Amino acid sequence: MGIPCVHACSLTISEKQILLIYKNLINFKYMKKTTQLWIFTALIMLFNLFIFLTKVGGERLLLYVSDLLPVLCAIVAVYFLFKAYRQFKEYDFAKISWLLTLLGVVLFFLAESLYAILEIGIGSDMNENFPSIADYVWCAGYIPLFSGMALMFYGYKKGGFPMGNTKMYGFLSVVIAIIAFAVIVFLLIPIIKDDETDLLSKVFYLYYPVGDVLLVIPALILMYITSLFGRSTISMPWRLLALGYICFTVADLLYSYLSWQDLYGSGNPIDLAWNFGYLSIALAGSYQMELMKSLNERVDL
Amino acid sequence: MTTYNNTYAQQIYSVLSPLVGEFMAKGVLKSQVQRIGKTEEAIVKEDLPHLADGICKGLVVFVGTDVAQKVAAKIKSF
Repeated sequence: MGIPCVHACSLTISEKQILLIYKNLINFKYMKKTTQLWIFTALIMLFNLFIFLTKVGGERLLLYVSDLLPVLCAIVAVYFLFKAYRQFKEYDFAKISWLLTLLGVVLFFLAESLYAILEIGIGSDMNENFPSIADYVWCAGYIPLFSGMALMFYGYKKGGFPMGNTKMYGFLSVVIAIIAFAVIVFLLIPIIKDDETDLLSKVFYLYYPVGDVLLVIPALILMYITSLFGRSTISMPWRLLALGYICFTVADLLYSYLSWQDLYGSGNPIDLAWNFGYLSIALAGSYQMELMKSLNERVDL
Repeated sequence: MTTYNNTYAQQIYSVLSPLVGEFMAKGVLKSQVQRIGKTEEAIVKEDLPHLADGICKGLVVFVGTDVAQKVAAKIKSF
């Protein structure tokens, strides 16, 4: 039997609601960082979807959300990647590959910020002024991201852990070949043949899909390798990193196509994939940080 | 859950499975004993340093040298 709560019952509904929110906020404060980040990710994605579907606030709000939300998601990714990187003590494969991933995402964050400044601050037409300085920074970001991913794969292979089923690699090769074929036929060749696009723009339109295909190869392999680990905590960071890169690839391929056709504008649903990509990478960093902390604190090791 | 009659194999498996999962722990143990030309049921105390070093090498990419060496030291201490 419970004790009747005279005080709580005499509260008005709004006071009860405030009490509930306060209680939830206290609970949120003591949640694990990763759980908080999952909740943040869900809220950001719902907010993003709501704005795109309802277009509430008109074109102006759509522009702000489309340009500023990726900046926010990227800075969250930078923060958690930095926290993960700091957990490693020695400069080995693990620390260097996380550092390269951090560098890549820092460059992506700078590119997102430059894009927002150019479009919102200066009012530049980003389709007309393609490639902008932001595109140069984005392209530079691919190099450390790819290197970090390749280093992780190389380190894993060198470590002598099981690589999985050979047949699966055959299947992955077929998937990658189909993606590459589709990109070449539907994107690269038409862009090369397009007489209205200048040479510099063509280089950038081609760089993104080629960079994405190169990034998605180690991402798919790592995705497969991590599937061998089941639900173990050690593989969660790699799984989320791979998921983030796959989201970037899907978004970038669509962006290249839409941008080349002059169809890309603020409030395009592909922005969701970019934002989710950044937050997946942030979650990867958060899982890695918690894994390292728990292992460092374990006295039985 | 996998069980081994060999005490060392069971102890290594018990250290690895919370880290890398049961399936992978089994796979890692198998690949490491094969590397030294043995089976899981034939591990002796003298094999532990070789197995520990091999496992440490594989873990470095996930958790860094420091933690991987802690795991290796634990295996060597059995």
